[in-house]
Amino acid sequence: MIIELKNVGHRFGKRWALSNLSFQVNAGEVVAILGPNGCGKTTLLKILATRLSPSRGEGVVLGKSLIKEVSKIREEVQWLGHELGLYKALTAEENLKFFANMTGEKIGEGQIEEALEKVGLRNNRHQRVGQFSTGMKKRLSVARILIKNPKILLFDEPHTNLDQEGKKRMSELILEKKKAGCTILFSSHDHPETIPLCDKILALNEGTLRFFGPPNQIRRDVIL
Amino acid sequence: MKKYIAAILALGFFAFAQWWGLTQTPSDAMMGAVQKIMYAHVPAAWNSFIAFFVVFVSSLLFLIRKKIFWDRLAASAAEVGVALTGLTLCLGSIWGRPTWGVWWTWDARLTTTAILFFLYVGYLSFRKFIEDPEKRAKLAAPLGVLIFLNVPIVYMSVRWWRTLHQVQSSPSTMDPAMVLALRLNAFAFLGLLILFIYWRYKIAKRKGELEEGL
Amino acid sequence: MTHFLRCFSAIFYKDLLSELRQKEILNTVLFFGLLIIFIYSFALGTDPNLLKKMAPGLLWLVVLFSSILALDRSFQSELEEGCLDHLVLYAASPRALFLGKVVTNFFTILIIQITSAFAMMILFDLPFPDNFWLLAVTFLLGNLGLATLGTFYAALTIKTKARQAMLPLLLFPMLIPLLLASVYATQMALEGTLTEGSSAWLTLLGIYNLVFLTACTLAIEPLLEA
Repeated sequence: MIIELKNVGHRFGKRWALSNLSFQVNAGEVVAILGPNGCGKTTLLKILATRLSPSRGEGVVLGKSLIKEVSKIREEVQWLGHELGLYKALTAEENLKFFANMTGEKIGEGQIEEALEKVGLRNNRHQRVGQFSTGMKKRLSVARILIKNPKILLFDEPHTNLDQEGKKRMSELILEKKKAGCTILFSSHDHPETIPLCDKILALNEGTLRFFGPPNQIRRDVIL
Repeated sequence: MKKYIAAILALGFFAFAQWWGLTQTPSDAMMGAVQKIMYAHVPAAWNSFIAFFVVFVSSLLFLIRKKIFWDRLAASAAEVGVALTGLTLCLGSIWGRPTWGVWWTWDARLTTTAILFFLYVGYLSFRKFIEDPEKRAKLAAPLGVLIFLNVPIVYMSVRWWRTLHQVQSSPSTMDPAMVLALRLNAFAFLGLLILFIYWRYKIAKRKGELEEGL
Repeated sequence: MTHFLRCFSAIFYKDLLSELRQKEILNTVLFFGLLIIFIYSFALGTDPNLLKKMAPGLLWLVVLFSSILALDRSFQSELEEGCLDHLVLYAASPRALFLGKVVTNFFTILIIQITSAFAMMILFDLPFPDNFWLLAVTFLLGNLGLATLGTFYAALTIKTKARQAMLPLLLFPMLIPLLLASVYATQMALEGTLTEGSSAWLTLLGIYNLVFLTACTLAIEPLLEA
């Protein structure tokens, strides 16, 4: 078990964005988090990324407590938010170098170049991110994840804002990471894109768990 | 009836102490009856410091223990402390007018109290702008600690600033009857302080429970 | 330790680079300061003796008001595009993150101080300070305290709804000892009088900086997580 949540809930003021969530994810699985807007997908991913602390319940990621051993989890888990968190005034390469240095680890020029090559931004590396298109920014933020080799990947809507070609490449990347032994959780709106990718579906509605299991077992009454 | 006993005791003792100060002490030789304002002004000032110390300790304990109890206690103590500081400033002003002929004087202690008033009003209004109770607690606690650390520095700097302009007048010796009345009132205000903090804490707790939807 | 230093220099380098590439922000802040100094003459008259006498206080007020604009930006820029979330998750040490920003703000405020002082010397016809080194030390110590508390309060108010009103409301009362010490030490440096009293004010500034640099560095972690 690489992720285990027990009765996890999260509250913003009076509103419970998540309530009583319990599930387990095994190592190497790809889990798609589905559900209508405002159902708690982003909140769940942020809790797993340790950006939010659960208001209730407890969770264990990689054998570490989500509440007490936050910094240890951060070393092994990579999160990519809906907002990509890139600096407009810096170039693509400078952005990657900055985030690499922030982790405190020494990361070589070669790794950065390789990551940029992989997402097809090698020729744009000295261009400022402010001049990038939305799709290019998304690719750059993927390159940021490729630099590190995380055990768990958390993606908030990886397919949004990408064209058909981009979506295909994103799906390939997810499968490639899965082959490398990475556990991946991602949220999505694009059902045709996600179903063939994932081993399990986690369906949320209004902050509660509606379904968790393989895609072929999903019940008809679950609203996605 | 039982739950009012503490309140009746505290308020009764307060009324007694004030009566004692007003009628059982000699009038000041120079200031006359106006000086009686001291029995409210000085105890209020002393007890506001106690309230702010409670804010400091509770904020520190919240940072260590992460229990919402300490956040609520800090907020309650800050509210009562601000009320007492406000009272101190108003009474000081009223006392100052007939004595020194001005409503406000840049006396070191009075100025420090005014700065404290601004600092803790800031603390309370900061709390009002954050809706999420957990976030509010996490952000307010460092603020409660920092403000208190500043108090001795503020006092020192204001004193040096004033001594540049004038020599501090130290209070002349007081009649023992006055000292007794002052002590009596200090304890009376302490009783009120505890009572008010307790009440504010209870309200904060109920509010919190409503927010949680229990 | 190397992790800490790498993280610290990364954030400092990033902020410096962003500031230099978006010069219009620093330019606006500096121009704002210049404008206030200019307006002082309209509000207070042009009597050179009066302006000379008030110069230390007026100088620190300009520095305070201009710095608020710069300080507010130091975390506001992180809110754009959700950078703060990623930053907190990537940072090896929240303390390195905080101290990196303090150093960036220190240099920004230094530029503000130097330009304001020059502008005042020209517009108010101030002589070259009698005790230049005292002035320099006062500037640096006052700056450090302002940068420390300013950065901390910027991080604090970024989470509230009325950010721009909250920052000065909370920060200015905290800065009163710093303002008093800086203004009087500056006055002594400019006039060359009462120099024996200046060491007391400098000590106060030193204690103030030590207390708040320690306290803010210790308290920054829960604040960034919230």
